[in-house]
Amino acid sequence: MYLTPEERQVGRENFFAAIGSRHLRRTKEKISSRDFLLQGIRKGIASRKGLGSYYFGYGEVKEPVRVGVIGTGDEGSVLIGALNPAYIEVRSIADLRPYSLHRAFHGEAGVSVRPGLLSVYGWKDESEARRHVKVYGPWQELIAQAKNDGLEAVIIALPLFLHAPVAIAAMKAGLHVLTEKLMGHSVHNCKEMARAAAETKRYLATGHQRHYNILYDHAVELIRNGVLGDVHYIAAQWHRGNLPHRDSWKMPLPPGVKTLEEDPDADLLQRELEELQSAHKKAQADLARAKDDRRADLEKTLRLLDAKIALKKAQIEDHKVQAEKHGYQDAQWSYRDWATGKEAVYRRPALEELIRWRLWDRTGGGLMAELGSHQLDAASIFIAAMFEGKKQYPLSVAAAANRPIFPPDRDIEDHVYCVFEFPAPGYDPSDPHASKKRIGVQYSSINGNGFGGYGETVYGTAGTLILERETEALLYKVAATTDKTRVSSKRVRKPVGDRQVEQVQASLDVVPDGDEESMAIGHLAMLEARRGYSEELEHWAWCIRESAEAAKKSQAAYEEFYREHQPRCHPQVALADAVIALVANKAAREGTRIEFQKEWFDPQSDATPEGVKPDLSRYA
Amino acid sequence: MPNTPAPTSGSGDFPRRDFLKGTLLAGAAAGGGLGAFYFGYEKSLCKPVRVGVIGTGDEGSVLIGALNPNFLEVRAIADIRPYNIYRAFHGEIGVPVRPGLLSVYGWKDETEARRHVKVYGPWEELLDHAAEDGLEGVIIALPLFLHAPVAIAAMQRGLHVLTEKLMAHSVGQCKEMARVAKQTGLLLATGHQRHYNILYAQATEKIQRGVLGDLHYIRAQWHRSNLPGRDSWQQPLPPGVKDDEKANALARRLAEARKRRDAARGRDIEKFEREVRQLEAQVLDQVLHSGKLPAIESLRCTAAAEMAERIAREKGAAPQPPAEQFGYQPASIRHRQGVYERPAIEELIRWRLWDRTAAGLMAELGSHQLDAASIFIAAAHGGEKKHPLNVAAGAARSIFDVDRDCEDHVMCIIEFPAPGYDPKDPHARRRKIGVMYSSINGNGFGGYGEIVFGTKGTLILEREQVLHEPSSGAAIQVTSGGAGPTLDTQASGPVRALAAAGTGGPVSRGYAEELEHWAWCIRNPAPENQPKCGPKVALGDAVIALVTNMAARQGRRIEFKEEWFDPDHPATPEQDLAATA
Repeated sequence: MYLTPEERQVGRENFFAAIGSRHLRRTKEKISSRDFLLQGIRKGIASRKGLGSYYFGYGEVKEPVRVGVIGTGDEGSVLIGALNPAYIEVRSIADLRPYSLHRAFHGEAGVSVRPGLLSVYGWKDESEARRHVKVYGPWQELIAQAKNDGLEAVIIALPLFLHAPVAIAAMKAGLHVLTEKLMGHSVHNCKEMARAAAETKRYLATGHQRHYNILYDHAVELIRNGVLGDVHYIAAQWHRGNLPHRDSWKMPLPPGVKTLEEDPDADLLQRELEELQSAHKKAQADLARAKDDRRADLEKTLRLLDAKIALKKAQIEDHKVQAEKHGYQDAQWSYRDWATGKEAVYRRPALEELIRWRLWDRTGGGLMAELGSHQLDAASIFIAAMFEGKKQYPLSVAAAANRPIFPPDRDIEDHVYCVFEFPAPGYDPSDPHASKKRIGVQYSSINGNGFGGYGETVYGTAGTLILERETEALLYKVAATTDKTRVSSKRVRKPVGDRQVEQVQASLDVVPDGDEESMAIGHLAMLEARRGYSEELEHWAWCIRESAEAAKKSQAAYEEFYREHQPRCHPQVALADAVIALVANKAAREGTRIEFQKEWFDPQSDATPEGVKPDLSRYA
Repeated sequence: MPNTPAPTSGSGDFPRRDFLKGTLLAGAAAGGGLGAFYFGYEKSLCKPVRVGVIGTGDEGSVLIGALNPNFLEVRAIADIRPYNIYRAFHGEIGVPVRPGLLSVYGWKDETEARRHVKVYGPWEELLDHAAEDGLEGVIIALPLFLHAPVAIAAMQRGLHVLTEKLMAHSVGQCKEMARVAKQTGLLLATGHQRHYNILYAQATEKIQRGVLGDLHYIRAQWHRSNLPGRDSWQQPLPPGVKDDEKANALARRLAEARKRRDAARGRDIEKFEREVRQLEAQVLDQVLHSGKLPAIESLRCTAAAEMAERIAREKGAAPQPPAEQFGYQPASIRHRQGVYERPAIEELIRWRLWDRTAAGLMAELGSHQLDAASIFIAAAHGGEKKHPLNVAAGAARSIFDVDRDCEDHVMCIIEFPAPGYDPKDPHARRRKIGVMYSSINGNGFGGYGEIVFGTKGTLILEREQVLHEPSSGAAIQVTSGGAGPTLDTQASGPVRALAAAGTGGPVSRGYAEELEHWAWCIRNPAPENQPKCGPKVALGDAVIALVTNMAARQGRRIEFKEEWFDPDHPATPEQDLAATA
């Protein structure tokens, strides 16, 4: 609940010492974790060279895959920033918003994860970039021109409700797809997508990037080696400090778009532009007077301000978008302000539904889709590690959702909390005692207070593992947060069925000075641990390129390759993540506890929690 | 979830801070005086209230340790376990929160103590002699299923009652207790000690003054490292009851202690002799199973031995073991690998594990923390108590064997109304405060505590001992705690943490103040002088804990009914939900 900086340091060191230990065995590579890391370090993974291929078993590609990026907003721009030009060549982009198109090329000044295509591909300006990249508005145009542009695949980062229609249209046009998470807006959507992938034999990957995060890879190995003992509880959370007038999901609208009679934020962008312009003027004046030693700094400041002004102008340009012509909708409702008792009318233009799509049920899926799905995906990965990697589906979810912070300017909740039960080893629904063998997973996603940030804590009978912000891992011997540990291993006899099998089991020993050598190796190997976006894109591209090579031999060779090589978050995995998130929403909104049905997780079954049958023909 | 606070510095936004800091560092928090200051009663009574203590086991002994002789005079005790009689007088070695009556009242030996304190077996005996012993009140720390019958019988004899939490085993029982208290005009207090913990009082005041902004979420937990073979709720049975490792361990420990004592010299003899006596007392419990007196040497002519002799004499001849004659039941639990035989004495000694005698993690641990959550949420409503709207829960038993009824883990989500909540308005009905709780075994990471989330700040209460304010940058950290493992050994919490508390002494968890205030209210009868955890408050806490159990066990979300919280209304969740289950 509360760790001092010293305790955090102990946890980090324990994790590094564990993964750098020779007593930990890689179940995939059949060598010690230390040898695995040392080999990797020799090959250069510490500087990120070949990291993905080393961990996830894909190689380089002869020729980059030619893709279009559909949707270049907040998330699409992050994916552009993660592109490796050796694997992927962007031939076209599509977005309705001038702001998104601007960001696709130029990135977002001051936001390093959104550097823009110019930076990623080393193009000197937009006109050079446009010689390589065609620009479209609606997604339909990009797909219609896919052949002309020589595309093999598309990356989709559109609002959630568009994932299914766009992914299916793309696959029908012969394109492979990587779509942002959540897979689809409903379970029947997801099943339709999975079926389209199976029918067209196109790759369909979904962007749950933890599948490609090496910290999670090592966490799974710790569990499989028994370092945590039996995992029996997982607590995960994503707490954000968003408040009214300071909400990362309620992006400013272009000037003049009013949602309330008195809307203090209506001219926010205009004000921000003017502030930037006056800062620019001042910097220019300073530059005119500046001595030589300050000029370089001021010129840098001016370049940054230029970039920010261009970005802000592009954002203001969004007022030109005729969102209602592209399927977005106006809405209006009245409500009583609880504090003042006054009646108010909220008018939502279609443009707001587009720009703030995460806030609306029709276009988004709330906190569970945007945040929770990632973390329950992680919980599923950890629980699978208790079953030798075999994926387990949850048994039940009970949930609640509410809105104590934001006014009625949205559909979605401020807070969602849920309790899941997964099977534990030995679970047997037909036995009154064995039916209680369950692993509990508790999750909360809240606004209004970011205390604790985001992460997952895995509780085992012999150890505790914490993954924070996808970038840091802490390991403790159960509750001993001040004790340094070392991994040791011993051979144990375990009953498997009716016979005794000898196994190596690792555990944590408390040692006063820790295990410095292992720690140094673990630390060095993890220097460049990142969130996994690049590896997710690379592996997908590798599958596409290698399968295309196989197709040159024969269709049968292609199909064999396609069967044997799939992205780690392939349709069945992504469907399960979507079922978990969407059923949690249903439980929270209907105020019930729901038992999961096995059929919901099966793309071939017509059963869905919402009761709508999947039907591919609706996309004709 | 772990987090690192900003560097701490004083904020001075709380008028009592300087006072508190000075007093706490001086160690006054551990003793008397502060509770009186904080909770508005006087520092002593002209005449202490005369009480009997019914049940002197793990929790009863903690209450004895919290007694202030200026407020309470113990005239009688009752317990059917010889071990508990022993502990009532002599406390438990190495457990400072269970010092025993001799230490609390400064009596030099048991003989002197017994001139002041009568010793009874079954609780009925103590009540039958209450008038003769001059009792005004009783303190009840029996297994949960006995709270209602004993408290009601006591009040019907004109005795005030302080009962350990949970108030009772069912909501129906709680309501009966509340009605009897009302009819007799006697004080009925329930031991949710957080009502008397100054850290909680201070946190509440901060919330009410808006220091946290709008409170919108609370996360609480009680995580314990219990595992098969070392479970604080599965206390060892005396030797001879079961052929199991734990029971043999007790016999072995006694043999070793005797050897140590025999080899000891000088002052060590006394130290090891005490260890032998305590272990012999624990072995004496065997009489409740066999009806025969086990061989003892050091404990002869003590209250514990006399109790064992009496049980052997009066109950030993009957075919059923004495524990059964006292109302405890044997059971056979069938499972795939065979049958787990549970003798009646196991139901008594390990009463927390069984549904008939207890109500699992929610009753023993969760009720305290949801009580705390209710206190904080009331503060967000300007001090007005609010009942929860609904609860959804899950429960699991992935760690322990088929040697119990209760769960290893209970996890729940409870929604309370936020200010402005209106069930009739489509928007305002979403204004709710969420509380998420987990009580688990098998891993004590994070220990126990509550985190209160507001729009402007966060409060963390850890182990009833430490208050952090990571957001505002101000922290009152009263112990050296916050670091290191917290391994509680009993339901009453982190004994070792308390024992090891740093300079300045631990914050009183509220037991002493709860007892003092109850005594003060008895001595100063007035409509406004009521214990802070009176029948209505305690009923509310019981409803939350027991309905959460139902939600977890029946696998559904339950909407709370306002009538369940009304002592005068006949509706109970066990009736209402049985019909629809």
